[in-house]
Amino acid sequence: MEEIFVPALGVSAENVYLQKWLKAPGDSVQAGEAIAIIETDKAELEITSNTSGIMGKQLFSEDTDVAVGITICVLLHEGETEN
Amino acid sequence: MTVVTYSEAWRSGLREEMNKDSSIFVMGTDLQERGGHFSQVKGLAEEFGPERIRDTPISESAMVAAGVGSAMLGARPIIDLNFMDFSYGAMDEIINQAAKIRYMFGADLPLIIRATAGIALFGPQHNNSFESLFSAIPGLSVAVPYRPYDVKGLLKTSLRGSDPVIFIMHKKLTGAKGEIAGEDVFIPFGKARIAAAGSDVLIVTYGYSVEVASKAAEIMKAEGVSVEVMDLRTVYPIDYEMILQRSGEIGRVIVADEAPLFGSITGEIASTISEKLYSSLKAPVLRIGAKRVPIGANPQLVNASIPNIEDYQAAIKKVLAF
Amino acid sequence: MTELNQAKDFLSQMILIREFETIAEGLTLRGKVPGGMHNSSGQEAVAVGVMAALKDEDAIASTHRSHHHSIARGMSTQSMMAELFTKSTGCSRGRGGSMHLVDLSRNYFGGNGIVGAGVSIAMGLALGIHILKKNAIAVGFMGDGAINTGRTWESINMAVIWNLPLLIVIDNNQYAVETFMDRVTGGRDFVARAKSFGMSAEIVDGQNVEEVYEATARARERILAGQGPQLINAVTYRYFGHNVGEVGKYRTQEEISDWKSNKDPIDNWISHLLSKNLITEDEISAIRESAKLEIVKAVEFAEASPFPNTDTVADDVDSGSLLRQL
Repeated sequence: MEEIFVPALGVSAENVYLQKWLKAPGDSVQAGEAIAIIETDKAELEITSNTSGIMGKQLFSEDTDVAVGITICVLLHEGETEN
Repeated sequence: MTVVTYSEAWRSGLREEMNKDSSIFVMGTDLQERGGHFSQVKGLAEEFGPERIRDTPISESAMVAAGVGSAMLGARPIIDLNFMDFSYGAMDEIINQAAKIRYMFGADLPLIIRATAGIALFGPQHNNSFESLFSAIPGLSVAVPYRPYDVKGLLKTSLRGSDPVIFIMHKKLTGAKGEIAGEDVFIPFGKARIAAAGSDVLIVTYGYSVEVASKAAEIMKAEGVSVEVMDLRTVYPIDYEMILQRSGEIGRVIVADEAPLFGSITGEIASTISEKLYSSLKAPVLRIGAKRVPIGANPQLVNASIPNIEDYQAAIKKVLAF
Repeated sequence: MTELNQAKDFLSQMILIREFETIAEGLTLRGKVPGGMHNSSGQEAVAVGVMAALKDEDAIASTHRSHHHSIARGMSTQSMMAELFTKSTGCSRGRGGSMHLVDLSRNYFGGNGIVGAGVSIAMGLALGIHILKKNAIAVGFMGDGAINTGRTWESINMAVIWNLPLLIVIDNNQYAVETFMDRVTGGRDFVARAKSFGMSAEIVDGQNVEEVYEATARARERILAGQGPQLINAVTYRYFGHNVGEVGKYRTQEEISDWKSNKDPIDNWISHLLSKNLITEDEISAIRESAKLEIVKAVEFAEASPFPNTDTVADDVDSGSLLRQL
């Protein structure tokens, strides 16, 4: 299971804005694929998955402020289920 | 006490300390034969040898970096830039390295950067003012002696300390004569002195401006005005204790120097006096400074750019009129 | 040929560095490292090879990307991790961060956030060694990014004319942020430039820890024999971006993969040790476990440590030494 989180990208920005999900729970995801778009005070950024799997639970809805460093969803690997 | 020139005073202090501490050495261009562009180390190469009075290539950046590294290791380097205008090529080393090493690393940095400054001749690039620039950098201490006595005393203190010093000597004072003290006299930083005592108006100043202010005070004395002239000796740290005490007692203050008025360190001092003594001052704190211009080559332009004795007299009369 | 214990030490240090950087990278993305950090994964052999050839009394100054130098010099990973977290227990008291690690007790005079500053300070360290008549050398690390800063060449010139005991190591990962060295370096030959200034110089494979070690040991000997300052251009590669979180398109995935798969300093040293029967798989596993454990402890220490007390913000800007009436 991979926890996908909002990365801290250098200068300040304690909260960023979760603009849009690009995948829904149950969708399959390839390693390196973008799964969400966030907005920092500088730019829009894609959050990508490091591994391949199935999109699991999403912890925040679109259109919300999220803290840097926080997990926003999980990616389930082969054979894993949510518990 | 011995009477020597301002430049000889530097040499006297340096010689005494170099004889006591073998880790002290000087680096700069043209030091060995002519003793530097202001004779500041003349004769010392013969006495101490080329290892301790080192001629450098023209490499200000590397010169100051060499000072930073060797000071961190435990030596006591003096980087002599000759003209403080050449410090612009070493700003990272001075501001980002030397000034911050103690704060970042907890290390001693007994580095002295000596050079001559002050408004005189040689045109725009050799006539910059550095007091507000360097005093604004946390971590640096800045000496601006007027008398030979203070040149020697402040140098000796610097060479026994653990912190980086920018040591600014004024061009026009190079040959000025004055008494110096012996081996055991040290002047601490942050202690001003009264150059001329007075009671009607206080002029707070430093460097060559002490000379101009003192002459103005003499003239005003004949007109029945008693002007006190305070010589700061260092512009970081500044002796606010003495400044505020005398400002409060006298009530009419002028802060003066020969740097452009806009952004001059006189602004820092004047606003501090105003803030602390607002209700007890008899007049607003006035300032004397240069026009906001580079200093031209033509001597009349130079004089038109910086404050002269008439400007001091006018300011004294103005502050009395409140 | 390096001794057996030393050969294993090379491996355990490189693995420790890799583990530190891997964990620190993740923690940085999680927001634990204010200001971020510059990952040195891929460059372990340069740090380990150089430091192994130095003595305690040698003085070192480094760059902004210096975790590997710090670990190879023997710094405490706890003190380093705490500094990355900017805790008060960090080696720079939380005031330096990742780019300004320091350990004066190990004559390690700090990383530096300004490109080229470390190598010029190292020249100053070398001058200090000379003035104070110490039996030691100074080592200045620089990257390919500093090959074109004026100060670097002023410092090289000064070291040459004064015969200073300085070794310059170019920890050359070939990219200055996103700029490949050949695009911006007239003449393109770092060694030739150094030689034209009168400095002895050579190029080595920065991914071969033994080659780096032997070149450093030779250079140190030459310096102490009075043969003048030396330069080693150690060609290496960084696996990650310039800084953590960088989204970079200036290198191809093929290039990165090639270095990771074929030129990894750790994998190659393991192959070498195994092929000579100098180590067993069990020993390698034990080394990896030990590294993991050490870094876990480093993180625990950093997490548990306090941030600097804000009452101390104005402490130690200067020592107050100049205010004394002597």
